[in-house]
Amino acid sequence: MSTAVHRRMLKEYLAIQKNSATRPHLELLEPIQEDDLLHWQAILLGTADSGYEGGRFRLDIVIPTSYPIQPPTIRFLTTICHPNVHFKTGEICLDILKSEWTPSWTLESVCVAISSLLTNPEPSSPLNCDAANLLRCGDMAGYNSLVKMYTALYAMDEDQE
Amino acid sequence: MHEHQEPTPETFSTPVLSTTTATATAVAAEAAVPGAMLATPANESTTAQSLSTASQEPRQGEPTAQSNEIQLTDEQILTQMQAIKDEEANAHPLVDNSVDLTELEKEYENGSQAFKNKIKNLSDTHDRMRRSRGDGNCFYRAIAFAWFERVMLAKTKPELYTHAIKAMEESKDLLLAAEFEPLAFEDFYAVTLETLESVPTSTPEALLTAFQTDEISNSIVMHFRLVASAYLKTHQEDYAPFLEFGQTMDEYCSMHVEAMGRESEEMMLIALTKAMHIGIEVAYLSGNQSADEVNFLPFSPDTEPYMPPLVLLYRPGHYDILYRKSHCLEGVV
Repeated sequence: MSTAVHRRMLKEYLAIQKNSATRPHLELLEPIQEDDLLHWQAILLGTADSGYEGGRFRLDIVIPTSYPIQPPTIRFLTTICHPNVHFKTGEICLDILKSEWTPSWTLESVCVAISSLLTNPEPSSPLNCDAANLLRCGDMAGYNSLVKMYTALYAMDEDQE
Repeated sequence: MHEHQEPTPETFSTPVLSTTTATATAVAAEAAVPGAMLATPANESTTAQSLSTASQEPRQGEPTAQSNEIQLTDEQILTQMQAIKDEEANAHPLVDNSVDLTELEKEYENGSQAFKNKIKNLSDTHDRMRRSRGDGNCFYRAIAFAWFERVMLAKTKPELYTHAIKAMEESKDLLLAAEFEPLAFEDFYAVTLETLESVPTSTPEALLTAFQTDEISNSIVMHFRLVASAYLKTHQEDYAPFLEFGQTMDEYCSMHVEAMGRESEEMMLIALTKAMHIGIEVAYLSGNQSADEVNFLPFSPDTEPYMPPLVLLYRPGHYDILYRKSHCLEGVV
């Protein structure tokens, strides 16, 4: 099993390097160490029209040896205020990472899906009820300022850490 | 789950409520997977729920710590579900040795007369069967194995191998036409093609071993799944009318065809027969009292089939492989 997953990850690695220009909101997607293709990191950039603007959000990606039959485990390392992300653990509630996973996804397409989750939250299945409740009440001003505040608090100047 | 909230009893009730909702949602999502697994997640959900309630009463002072211990994340639920499935599945090989049809009769020894009559009638024309593991992939695995085996055993008809290789090459074009990323399908394709290319020099035992090896067997299942999906996506005008209202073919395919462990429906059977140019006959074994004959549902490719139809035994929710006596007579098997 492990040789197949390594072969696949190497292919993904090469493909990602080739396509880097086509994904504006993905600053980085690479293995943390060159010799371990089963542990990756990514950095998502907050989109300009959202409360996440200016933020850089680091993701931790663990690839199971049964990948791509089984999904990767992805969580936010950067604290982020989002209805579908656990505030403390960074766990992401996204169907394609759980029950709706299919092997036709790649790490790159999954990261793009997570990036689009940032601007398209799904408040009906929340991991962060405070953020979800604001959205469900239609309090966009409250929601956006909360998101902005946490983005400024945790997701800027990450390089200094 | 929401440790940043003040741990007062009032706010505590909110996260607990949300957790049970999340669990229920996860269970409901799992319920979409047909099969016998439904009892367990339901129990799990009640356990999580009752534990939450229990912890709330005596230790109101430190509810957050308590709730941390008993709350299951979606990931944990998924891991547990997988463990339960694995445990059940590991009791049977992915594809088993073929057995005499009398083994099927034994299963229904204490069953209804309708089953017994049907199996007896079935054994007039069929003599053996081969079980496929009931892990939601049984249809794809059964059809793939039956196809490979047919190609392997057709010593007197070497052109079958040429047809099979051609069908494989076409399937790659189909995947590209359906706009699958080569990265996402080429490993599955490579394993399937490699296994097929080894067929002329291999043995039935080696083929069975390959199909019992997770990596090879699941790659082949995935290839067949993607091919079925690609066929449906490239023939939307014919099949989209059969979808639920508001559902797109892409959604249907990713949810029901491409995901491992999702059971097949008639549409996938049709798609595979047409994409791989193989005929399939499904022997429908049911407890229907009004007939003593097993009903055969034929699925035919659009082109002239290059081999007699593969025969599957269907019992609601599960497919196995059947061996027809006439195929032995024809010298095909």
